[in-house]
Amino acid sequence: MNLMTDCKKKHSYTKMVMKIGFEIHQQLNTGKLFCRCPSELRKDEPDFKIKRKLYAVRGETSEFDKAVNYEASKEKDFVYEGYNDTTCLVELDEQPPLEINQDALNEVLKIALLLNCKIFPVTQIMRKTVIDGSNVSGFQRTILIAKDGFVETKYGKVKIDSICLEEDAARIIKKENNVSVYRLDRLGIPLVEIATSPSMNNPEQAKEVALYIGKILRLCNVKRGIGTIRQDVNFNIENYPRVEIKGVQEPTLIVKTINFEAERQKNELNLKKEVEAHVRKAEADGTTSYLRPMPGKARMYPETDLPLLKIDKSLIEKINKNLPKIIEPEEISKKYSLSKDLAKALIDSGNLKILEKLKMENVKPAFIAENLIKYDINEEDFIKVFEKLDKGEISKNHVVEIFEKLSKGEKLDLDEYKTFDDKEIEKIIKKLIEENKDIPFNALMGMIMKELKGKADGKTVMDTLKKLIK
Amino acid sequence: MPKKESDSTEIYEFKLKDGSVEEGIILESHDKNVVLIKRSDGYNIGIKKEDIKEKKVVGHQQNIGSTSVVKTETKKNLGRIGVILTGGTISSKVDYKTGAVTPIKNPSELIENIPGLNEIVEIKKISIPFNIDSSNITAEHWKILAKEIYEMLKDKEIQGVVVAHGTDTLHYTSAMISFMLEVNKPVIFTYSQRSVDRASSDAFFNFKSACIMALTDVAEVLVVGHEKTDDENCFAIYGTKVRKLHSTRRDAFRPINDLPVTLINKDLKLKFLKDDYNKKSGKEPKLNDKIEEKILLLKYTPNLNPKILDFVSKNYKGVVVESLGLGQINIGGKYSFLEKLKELTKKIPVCFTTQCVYGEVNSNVYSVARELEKAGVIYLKDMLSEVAYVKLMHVLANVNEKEKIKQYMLHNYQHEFNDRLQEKTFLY
Repeated sequence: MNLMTDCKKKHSYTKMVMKIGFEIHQQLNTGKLFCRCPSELRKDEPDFKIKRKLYAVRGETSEFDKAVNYEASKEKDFVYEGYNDTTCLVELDEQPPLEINQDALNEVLKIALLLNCKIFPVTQIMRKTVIDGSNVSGFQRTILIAKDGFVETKYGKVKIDSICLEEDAARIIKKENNVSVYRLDRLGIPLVEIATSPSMNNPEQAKEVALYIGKILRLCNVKRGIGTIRQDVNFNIENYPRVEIKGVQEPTLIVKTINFEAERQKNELNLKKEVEAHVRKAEADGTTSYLRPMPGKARMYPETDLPLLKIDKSLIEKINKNLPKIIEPEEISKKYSLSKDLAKALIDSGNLKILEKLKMENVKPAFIAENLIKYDINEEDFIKVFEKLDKGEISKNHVVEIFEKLSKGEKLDLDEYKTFDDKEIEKIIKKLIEENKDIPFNALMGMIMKELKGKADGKTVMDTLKKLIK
Repeated sequence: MPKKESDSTEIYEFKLKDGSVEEGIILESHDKNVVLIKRSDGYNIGIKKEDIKEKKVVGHQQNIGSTSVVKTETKKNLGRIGVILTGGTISSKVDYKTGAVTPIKNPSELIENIPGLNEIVEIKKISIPFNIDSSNITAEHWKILAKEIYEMLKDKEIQGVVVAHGTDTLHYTSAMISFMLEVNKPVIFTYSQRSVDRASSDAFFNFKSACIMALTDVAEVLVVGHEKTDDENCFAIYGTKVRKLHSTRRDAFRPINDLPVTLINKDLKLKFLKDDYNKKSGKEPKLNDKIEEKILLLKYTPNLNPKILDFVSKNYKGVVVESLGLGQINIGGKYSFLEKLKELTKKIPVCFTTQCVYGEVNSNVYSVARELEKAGVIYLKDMLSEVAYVKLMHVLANVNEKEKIKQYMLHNYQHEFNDRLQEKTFLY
């Protein structure tokens, strides 16, 4: 490994022997995994709250699990916030899970194939004990979907150990005294968990793998934005037990975080402190803080309310045929005459597919692309607005207002932004000319534009006015 | 070869036809074409038998002893109760490897199931007369259970009895036991809708609340469980005024046409909402476990052919008709029940309840109902259909004179009637 030696020269930390691996959790952009609620995070006040407790139960080993016990010893009350239109009895742990969401399964199969994994033809939905209250039931459902994939890096191949499909946990709203308040909007959103083998020994390689996986994920139907992707890094230097660092925000922070943690572990070893495997929390500045002891291993048992999950060869073949390809910015920049930066931003936004779907005669790709990267709006709404704009049914003047409102989640009637056709314009202008006979041209033009409220473009108005005044 | 009580399990390696390798311990599979294995990472996966090229043992995994690490020492000077487990999730433990559920066998396992139980009561006696899915309950089980409770009621060292029961037939059993036994102490039925393997199970709070209720002076048969979906309150409901109204929610059991007797809060403090209960006494309990099995509960539906009554007449000794609204069924035109019903009442007792669940049947409002009543139909006011069904089983096993039967059916023995339907009893 020549490159490894290079790194050793450059960075002092690589004098240490280290083991790096990580897990990426990415939310899928489908409905929830085991119920038919939408995956929608809410900012408005919840419709109802329920109060629950969790009790320490025997773990798989018939002993109370160490991590479980740690949480249970805190004896907390939990409040869960729900919404009538986006929460159902499944999230409340009052109804067995429904069948797995096929869209989510298809998406995770796509990801597995893109990462060169082998998909299990038969697998079992498991319950993983979680007792911090973030799962109402006290467990998280998780499914091992695929194994043995790989990512090529300039430092060599990195193995993908496993790809799992899981339920996301409820969202913590606040913690005070012995009460934790969680919101149920996030509970049950499908998450793909991608775990690399813990065999990397260079932070730069880890960063490269994380960036590549990010690229693959953005080719698929995944959620975007803060909190929709989480990276946990497994890291230890020689003689130090395994440490899991939860929630590294950005792939670019991986190197910094590992460096800090390597120093910390080294210091502890030097001070001859007694160290044990544990979980740490990643901070935004690259440092970490202690979270809890490492959870025990034997914490999984079958979800008895659902049958074995069988994944047909024919389904895998079908998905394999339609796999998306990694797109290079140059190609898109050329194809649509966009600047390279804009093309890259568009690819990263995941909205390139919308531009590709649109068949516009009048609206320029660059204008579309700029809006596609700027606003967080669903595909249908984007297409509807651009199509109306292309047909001249709405004016360009209103596009910003429309997108602003749509991205705030407001419901719009696009007909309100309908442009006037030529006959209507003529009629309005005629009326204003008659009502204001001795007014100068420019003032008249101003009055007309005001009356039309931007629902006609200036040139048409000017031409019509000139024609009528003659 | 004699096998040691398995202290280790074989780890297998499977070489598959596509060249890949799987490793794990073999679990019981319900699919005959699939070998189910648990991998070392805890995940279970299936291997299609047709894909296997070869398998061999590559190691052993130490089995985890079933010995408990939970201390089962009970605090001193606690109230003493008897516990009867009959099945259902409270009475079971989960094999975390397979997810299979097996019945528990001794008090320490129960205490393991319900953490903290030994801090609130002393379990003087535990009995498991049968351990079945409650949908398999028959009259035989009711007799066995009544006898078992009766023995505990006679035991002077036991202050009250807690019975764990599956949910699906719980309200039938609680009603039947109410009629079979004249109790001198609390007899508390409880249940769980979520299995005890999950930290969120309702079993923990339900069972503890039931134990606390068993230490009171309420000498009644009661059902105790969650009041709402929250873990804030449990409540105790008369065994004859309770019904399962939801297939999955933890607050499935509701008082019908009545208020709960007691609320039990999360700190296990009691608040009484009713005072019409019998108080504990030094009296000896009484057992009458006779059951007439040839009783039918028939739900009337539109378009039902009255010929069904010929079948009823031939095969049953009594019938409860779950009628419409206030006590209506088709008595005019096509499929009129009038004539056949008049005939049937000459032969066997016919009782009417309402399929509305809430409210009563009343023969005074419509003239036909008055006519049917004259012909012998017994209108059971606000009694629940399920309660009417088991009460008729019990009454017919004890009396056979027509007038006596009617008199017994309409007598309020165990709170099965409530002649003051308070506003808040609806959808309580």
